[in-house]
Amino acid sequence: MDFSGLNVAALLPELLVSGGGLLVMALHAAFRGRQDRQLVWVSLASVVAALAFCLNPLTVEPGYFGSALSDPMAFAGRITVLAALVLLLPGGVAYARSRNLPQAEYLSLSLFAATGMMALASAGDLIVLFLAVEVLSISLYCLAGLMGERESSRQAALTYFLAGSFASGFLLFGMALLSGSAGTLDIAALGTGLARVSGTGTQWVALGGVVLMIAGLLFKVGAVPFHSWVAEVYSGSPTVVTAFMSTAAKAAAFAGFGRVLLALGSVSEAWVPLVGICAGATMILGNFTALVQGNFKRMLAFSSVAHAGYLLLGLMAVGAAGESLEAVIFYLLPYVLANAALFLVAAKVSQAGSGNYKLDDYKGLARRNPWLAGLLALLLLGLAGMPPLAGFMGKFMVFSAAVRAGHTGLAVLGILTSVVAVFTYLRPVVYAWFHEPEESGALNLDGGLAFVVWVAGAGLLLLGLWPRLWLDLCAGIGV
Amino acid sequence: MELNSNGVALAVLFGLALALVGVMYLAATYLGPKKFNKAKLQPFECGMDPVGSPREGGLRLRFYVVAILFVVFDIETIFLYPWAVSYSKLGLFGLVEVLVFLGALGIGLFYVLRKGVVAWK
Repeated sequence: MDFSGLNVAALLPELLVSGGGLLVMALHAAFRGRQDRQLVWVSLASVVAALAFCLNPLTVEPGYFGSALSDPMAFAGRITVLAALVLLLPGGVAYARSRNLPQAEYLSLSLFAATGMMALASAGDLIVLFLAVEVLSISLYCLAGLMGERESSRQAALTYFLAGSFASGFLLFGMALLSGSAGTLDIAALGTGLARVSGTGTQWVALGGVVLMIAGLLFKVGAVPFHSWVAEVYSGSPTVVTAFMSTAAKAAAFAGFGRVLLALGSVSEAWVPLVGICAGATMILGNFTALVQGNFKRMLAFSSVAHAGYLLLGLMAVGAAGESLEAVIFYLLPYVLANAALFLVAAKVSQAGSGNYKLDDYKGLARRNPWLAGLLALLLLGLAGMPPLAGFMGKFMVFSAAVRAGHTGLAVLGILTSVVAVFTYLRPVVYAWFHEPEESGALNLDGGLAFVVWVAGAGLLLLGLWPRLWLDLCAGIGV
Repeated sequence: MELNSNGVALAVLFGLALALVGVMYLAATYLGPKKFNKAKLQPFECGMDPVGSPREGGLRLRFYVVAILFVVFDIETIFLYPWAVSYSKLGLFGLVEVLVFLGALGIGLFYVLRKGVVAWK
């Protein structure tokens, strides 16, 4: 057999991260849990090594006979996932330790989930895509139930498992119909394969495949009408796990989704109306539901539904000629930075306050820790899309891509719902700055959390002022 | 309509199967004798009298864990067979891939043993 197309180096980031996960498991078992405090360093070492290999141009060639790609999309997806891990793992371990959750299992499952996410972003064929989706989903089901003594966590795990398996079924059946009618498993070749069968009876099979696959992917990204699991799973899971789900998992799912839709650009008339309706409904429902939440964690959950709507709008543009995934790639990184930091802040503020993520906990935060209140405002305004923060550039790029692709109505709807979102995000800020504190005493951040919040804030500002930095890096590595 | 053309034979078979099942169900419902007694209405438990309520105790989670472990190593065999058959063609590459696979499973097994999952208490 000829193995010249193998190029294991293309998968090195994934291999390093999954190897780190295995090592954490093995060390935990070997030391019978006595050295668990050191395991976070092992995990971070594997993540940093993977980051170094992503930046290494050695991995540009596709590997495993075209199944593993290293294009700008894969690069951006991998970096986004790894950045989320760097931000979340130290805080996550501290969270797990303080609540007596299994730390080693948290770390290794997070690394396994990240392996799936990275593979999803770099999947070149449908089988790898499905395997990646399953690896990330199964790890996340377990992570959702990590706080097993709490009913809400068990319920979140089961809900996520049932909804996710259902979605996987859709995805798999759609993939079977699609690859059967296009005659290929190669994602990039799906478009030409489908062009060959257009006009024959097979095109209806292909259409069924496209619709089912999109339904499965909409489920995974939590878009309307498949969003009902989001609130329960996000609010029931341990907060650090929710942070991981709503950032890295969502970014990876959108990377895979984008790759599939990019390949189906030649049959865009089949899916653009469908995705358009879902995008509009997701923006409206996500933003208005987030507006009325009195619970910070649920507010972030619905806000992440709303962001899925904007990202879908960005994906719709790739159906039009000449549009790339640039807008979506750009949108994801600041979203991930801001959300990861906000969930960790939410865990901290809630622990110091009511313990159940009430928005009232933020009252008078500026008196208790002005820096934290300032950074909270920065992160929330970044999510809302205020210039000069990166959220603004992300929204601007998504909306202008949509307008160029001829979806002006949806872009206007997106802008209007963004205005609604500003009210949602301003509420905790107003509470923090213009209300009297219910509890007195300073609320000090530990070093890890302060690092995360500062890095995320600086990232939002830097990417907002200098967006080409990230885009040029993506384009320069992969092409 | 040709009987052996695409799909027609399959449709006829499907229809016949449905009809047969329907006829048997209806026949059993209308023709079968219905003489119930206490023993007949009891849940079946291998010929013994049932003990206790099915709600108490239930199935222990341990059974599922063992079943999952079984499936994992069952799948290992499924992968090993084709590798063994085409060993000469896959050569060193195949050997390395299988070792990676076995290594990952081995770490999993080590973890499971250390966690005391298979210690039946």
